[in-house]
Amino acid sequence: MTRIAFSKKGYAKYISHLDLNRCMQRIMARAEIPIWYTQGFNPHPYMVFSAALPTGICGERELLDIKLVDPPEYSVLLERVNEKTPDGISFLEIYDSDRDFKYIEKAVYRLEISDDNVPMFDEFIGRDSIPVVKKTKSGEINIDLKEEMQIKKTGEIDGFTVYEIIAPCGNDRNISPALLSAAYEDKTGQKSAVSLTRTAFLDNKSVIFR
Amino acid sequence: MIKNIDSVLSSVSKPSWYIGTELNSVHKSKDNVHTRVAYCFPDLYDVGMSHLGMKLLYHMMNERDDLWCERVFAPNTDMEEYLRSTGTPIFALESKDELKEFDFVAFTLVYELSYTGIANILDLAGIPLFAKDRSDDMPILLAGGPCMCNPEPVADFFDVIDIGEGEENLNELFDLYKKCGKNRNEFLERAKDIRGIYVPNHGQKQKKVTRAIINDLPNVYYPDKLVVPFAQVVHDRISLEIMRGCIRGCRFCQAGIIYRPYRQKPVERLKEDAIKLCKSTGYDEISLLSLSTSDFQKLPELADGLKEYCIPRKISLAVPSLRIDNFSKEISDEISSIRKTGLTFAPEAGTQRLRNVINKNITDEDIERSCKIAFENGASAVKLYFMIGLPTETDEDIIGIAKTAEKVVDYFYKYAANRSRGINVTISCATFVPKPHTPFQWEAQLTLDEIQRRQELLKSSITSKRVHYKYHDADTTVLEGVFARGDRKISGLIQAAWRLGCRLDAWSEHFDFSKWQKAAKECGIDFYSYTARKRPFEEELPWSFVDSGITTDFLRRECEKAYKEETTPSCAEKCAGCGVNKLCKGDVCP
Repeated sequence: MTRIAFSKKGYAKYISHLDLNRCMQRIMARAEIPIWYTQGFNPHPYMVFSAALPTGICGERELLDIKLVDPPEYSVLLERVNEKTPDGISFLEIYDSDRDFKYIEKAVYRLEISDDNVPMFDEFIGRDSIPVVKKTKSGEINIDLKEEMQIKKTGEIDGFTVYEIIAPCGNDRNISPALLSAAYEDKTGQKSAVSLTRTAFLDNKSVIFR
Repeated sequence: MIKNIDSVLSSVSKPSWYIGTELNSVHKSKDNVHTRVAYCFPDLYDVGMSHLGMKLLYHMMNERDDLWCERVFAPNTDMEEYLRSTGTPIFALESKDELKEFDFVAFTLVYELSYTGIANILDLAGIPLFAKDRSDDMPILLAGGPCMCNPEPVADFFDVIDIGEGEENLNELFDLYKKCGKNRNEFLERAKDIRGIYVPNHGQKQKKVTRAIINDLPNVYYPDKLVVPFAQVVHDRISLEIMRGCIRGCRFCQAGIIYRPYRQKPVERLKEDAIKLCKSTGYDEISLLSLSTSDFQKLPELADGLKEYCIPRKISLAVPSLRIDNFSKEISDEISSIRKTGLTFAPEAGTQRLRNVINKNITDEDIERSCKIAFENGASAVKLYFMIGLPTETDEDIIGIAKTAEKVVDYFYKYAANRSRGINVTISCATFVPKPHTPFQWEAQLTLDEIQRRQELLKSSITSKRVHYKYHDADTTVLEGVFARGDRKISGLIQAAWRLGCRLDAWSEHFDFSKWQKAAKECGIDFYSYTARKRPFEEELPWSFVDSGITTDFLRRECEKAYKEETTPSCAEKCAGCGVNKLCKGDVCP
């Protein structure tokens, strides 16, 4: 299997997962990448994403598996494909991997918030529990973000304070940190006070999955 | 650039409609251009981004180094709510600058029900709707598109209206703007000398404006790239325009007149354009675009050429707008070898008599022959387009629609290779709206009650369970009729209706006829005086000053022939003397 690591930043964070799928197909077609098609009644290019990135969250290193017919040199491919991506999407690395995405259990996120909001935010995440309602296909469930996520302050850049969040991101359990920022914004009435970036995936031993 | 763009984008359900960084979108530095154009489509993104004309002119304008053209679409309701509640102005997608900063705010007007979109976008931009209310430091308001063959209903809003084919005269217009050094008055005065340009609110009214026509279509600009939306839009594919104009001369059809003369593009050029577009967009479908694709003489050659490129790359070819009378086994094969699609035909009327009246020169035998080919090749869905309310229509003609559809069902059981799949025949029925510059421009349109009566009659005439009937709301049709043949009084109606909350009227979930009725009352406008009144041939019409190239004599002759149920052969068979060749250089007609 050919694995692509790519980033999705800037305005591209507003491209939904479904639209990203279509966008990737078109990038491959533009770059004339010989991608393998499923052999069904309605053939479509084989593409599997590691985990859907919620709309509005940046991705620093997202993963996508494809199958190639007669794969050219990966370094050539990388150059060719990067000429064809829209603003905000870049391919970082192309490599072989046989490790299935099902071994991903968690994801690491970077949360940035402007310094003047930090006292309020610290108070918010310092509470004993942060109950939120998560909408799923089978209805709404109540969860406590304090139990689901690890949140820690890691540093500061240019008037922003940075936190690291580790949250479940697997087939069985997936908790988006957007729930945290939405709950905070709801509480404080602020709009888009928080920016989020997914930086890495982790396996069950908390080792970076690549 | 407007403030807090992130909070705008994270507040709406479809943020990718507003990010402006789609593949092939054009980004320039505003300091490096002389002229900035905010090009607006007064309806939602997914409709506007499906419209070829806008994409074509967007790329054509951006070919100029001295100009940056950006896109604006009508905001969806959630976006409008956000903009209004936060006092944020509407912005152009590429730069996210507000519209007041532009030299031109241009609108493309493709259907009449988008007119309130003009009022809404300008209001959200803080630009007064009426030209008389705007100061000289405001952008120049420009309009174009097929609706502008009768510009009067919106003429009070605009400074410059481009009538005809923009590829022909837009560059001249922007050259003039540069030459005038942004001097507005000089620009407006001199713009009147450019063919196709109407300056409705500056100085003396022009006595005649002649439609701009591309003389050399085979060599005219066609984009080698198209903006590829992230979100799925209505027509999410490459549109390849293969010809312009139509040889047929159906008497109700405005497009058949205002895109004359009939001009085909050479197969070689089309193949080149198609391949460039495939490479630059990554789309997996090409749709051949024209008013009547099966009239394209070299269609099999073109399809073969395209297939050679498309099949190995899994790109499919769509061939819409086929006619019943020249649908052939070859064409059917071309379509089905790439992807099997349902079949769509437009008999337009249910009896031979009425088809003769409208000059839709197809016969029952044509329908049977085409269905035979299609069914033998495995088609199991047929869509038939009809109109009700055509001039001289009787109840017998309405019942004929149902009979025609049921005959198609019978043909299926007679000819189909595999009958077990069953057949679905859909009748899609629009109500006839008399349009300017057509032989029926003087005709009366049905009233609401009569539209509904005839719709009911048709519904009750269908007995087969295989036939499904779809029809448009009668009230939108009435409004369309008011706009189509409207005069300057209509601009007040548009503003009044917009004030009452009318938006996105082309969407049934937004359209509210009662508000339009209320607005009409406020403005003292009687809809039926525009729609239901038959005009004498001698009457001066609001669009009489627009010279489409087609003479009034010709239109009148065609109308009189219609009453006598006489047909006119296609341009390919015999010239009917419409007059358009006098506006063109050389021998353009077939």
